[in-house]
Amino acid sequence: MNVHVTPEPNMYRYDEFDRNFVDARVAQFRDQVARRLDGTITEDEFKPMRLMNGLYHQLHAYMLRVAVPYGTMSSRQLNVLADIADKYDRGYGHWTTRQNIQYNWIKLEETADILDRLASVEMHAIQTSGNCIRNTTTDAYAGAAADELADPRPVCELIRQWSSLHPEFSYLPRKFKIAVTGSPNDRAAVRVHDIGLRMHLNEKGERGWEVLVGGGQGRTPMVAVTVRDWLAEADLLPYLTAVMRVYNLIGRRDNKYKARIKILVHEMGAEAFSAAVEKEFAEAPKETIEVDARELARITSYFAPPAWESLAAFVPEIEEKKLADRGFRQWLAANTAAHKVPGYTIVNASFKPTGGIPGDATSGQMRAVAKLADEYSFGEVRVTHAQNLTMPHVRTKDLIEVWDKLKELGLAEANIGLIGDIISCPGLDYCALATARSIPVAQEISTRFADIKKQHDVGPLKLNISGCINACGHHHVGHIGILGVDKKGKEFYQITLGGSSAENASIGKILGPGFGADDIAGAVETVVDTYLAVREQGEEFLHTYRRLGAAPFKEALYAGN
Amino acid sequence: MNDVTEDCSEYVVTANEVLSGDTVFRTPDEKWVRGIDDAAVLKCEDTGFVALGEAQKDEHANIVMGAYLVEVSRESGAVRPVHIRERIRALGPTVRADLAQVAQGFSTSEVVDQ
Repeated sequence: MNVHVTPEPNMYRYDEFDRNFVDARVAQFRDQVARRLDGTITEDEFKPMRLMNGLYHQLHAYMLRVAVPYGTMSSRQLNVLADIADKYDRGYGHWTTRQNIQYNWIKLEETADILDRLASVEMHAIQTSGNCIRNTTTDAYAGAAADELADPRPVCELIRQWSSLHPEFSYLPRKFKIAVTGSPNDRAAVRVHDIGLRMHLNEKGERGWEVLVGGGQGRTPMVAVTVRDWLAEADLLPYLTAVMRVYNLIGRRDNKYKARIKILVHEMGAEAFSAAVEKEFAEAPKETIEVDARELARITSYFAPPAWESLAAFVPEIEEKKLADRGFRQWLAANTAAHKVPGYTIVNASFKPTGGIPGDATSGQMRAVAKLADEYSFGEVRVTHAQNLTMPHVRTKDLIEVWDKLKELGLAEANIGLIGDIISCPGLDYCALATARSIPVAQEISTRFADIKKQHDVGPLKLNISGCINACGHHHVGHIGILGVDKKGKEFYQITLGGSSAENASIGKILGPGFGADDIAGAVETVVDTYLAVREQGEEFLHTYRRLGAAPFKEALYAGN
Repeated sequence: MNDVTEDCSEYVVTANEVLSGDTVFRTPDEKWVRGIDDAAVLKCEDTGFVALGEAQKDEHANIVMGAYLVEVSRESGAVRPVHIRERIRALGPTVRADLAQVAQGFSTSEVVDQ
């Protein structure tokens, strides 16, 4: 019998301080729950405490949002997430658009036990809610992508350590989200975050960061503006501190809908905002928070590449299989990505089965992916912001085996980046804020486009659905976006076109009057058919829309009305 | 349950149990249950507010939280919330038949049909 030894993945590590702190926080929350249950504190008093520990109350029950730091986790951690789903929830969890996991059916009295279990594998739910700096997100392919300049995760970890319970930034005007990319091809949506960081290299090969501020979605979607083209890495934390300080001091607190930093940047103007940040940056003492090269080197060492083998990039049996098997060819084209090391490939497990619930994962699927990661990807797994899982380091020669195993698990739908890979918030089926359901719309659309060949013929197309204006389903940046609203007690759906969260980010524009629940999937089909009719050779949906505008789509949808 | 003879809406009192977070409904004998079929149906808003006032005592006792009135109608003899949000809240997610309030014998289609 073979004994599989799971190598410890290359990722963050808690030191003694982190461990003690998280343990203390669990004990503190256990006491807070006890006091809530014995009536010492009211729900109004308890609510901010539970939110600081990621515990919401949603439509049906308590919901716990667990942070997956920049989407990176080990197979060991994924197994614990599966155990939690079984023991404390109803056997499943939901990958979120910020690379976290949510559990929908949590009991208050059991929450501290869950947090204890998470702490045992260096995880927690701190700052997954509330007006603080949330879990930093990044490229799910970080440390593996062929097109990245360098692994952005050491900087993500630096930001995580800096922002965790930062005393000055724990009571911001509103929540605050930071995204980081180390690749020019933005898979982290940095332009629609409060702060986006893009890595650049100068002529000496030194790393620096472009700082973008004021992006976001929600009810007032905006694309971030660049306030610094180049920031030396050593200045990163002092500069972020300056941005946060300007926001914290003059960001609005009188109206929660105008309290995000994007509103401040918009109202001040990018130039004035940038000047305020530069002034703060120039005047504030930096010695205590500038990035010490030794400290960054220490953190970077945690993310040292795994023990890659020296392998041939060209694997004849893979090429033969590609020619012989269309299903494998489609899967390879859509669900894998180029790795920076020859002989390795990035593999995505699609959690978007035809007619399924986008992003829902059963405990069995979690354990199975953890096992696959152990066998084929150095025990590493990533959560993507498109609600899938990634195994970043799979040997190319193992791809047929991995494909076969993913097929058995129902995780090999060859639809990553295609219309079947729908991003969807939980919507009114779970969320207390939602005004319409999202999931049934996603299910119907994915069923209509069940033919994978058609999906591949349509080509890259991001379809995102939100069940309310808060836009957790990222509808503003979907090439096709759908927003569910309540219209006199009935669900109604608006279509937006032309959004993008990539390096060429844009906010989608409303196409016209909305559609009822029975008609929205058909309307999307009409939009796609119109694109197929008017596109030029090899032209992707977004490019066709940008070339022609909304006119042909409006004509197709509304001309008869 | 009251007969509907006057031209006014009917209501039930709902809340969430503190311990579990579950959706619960107030019964005629002032208990809380998970199934809306066992809820006390209150004729007209004024009657509803009186019952709500009583129910809120259980908030102070930490049994439930966030009590409020939900407008309902009768459909094939069953009491169902008028608004889709409250229907889903009462009957469970429409996308997971296995998680719907099957204990009460409800089908998920009942949530969807308005």
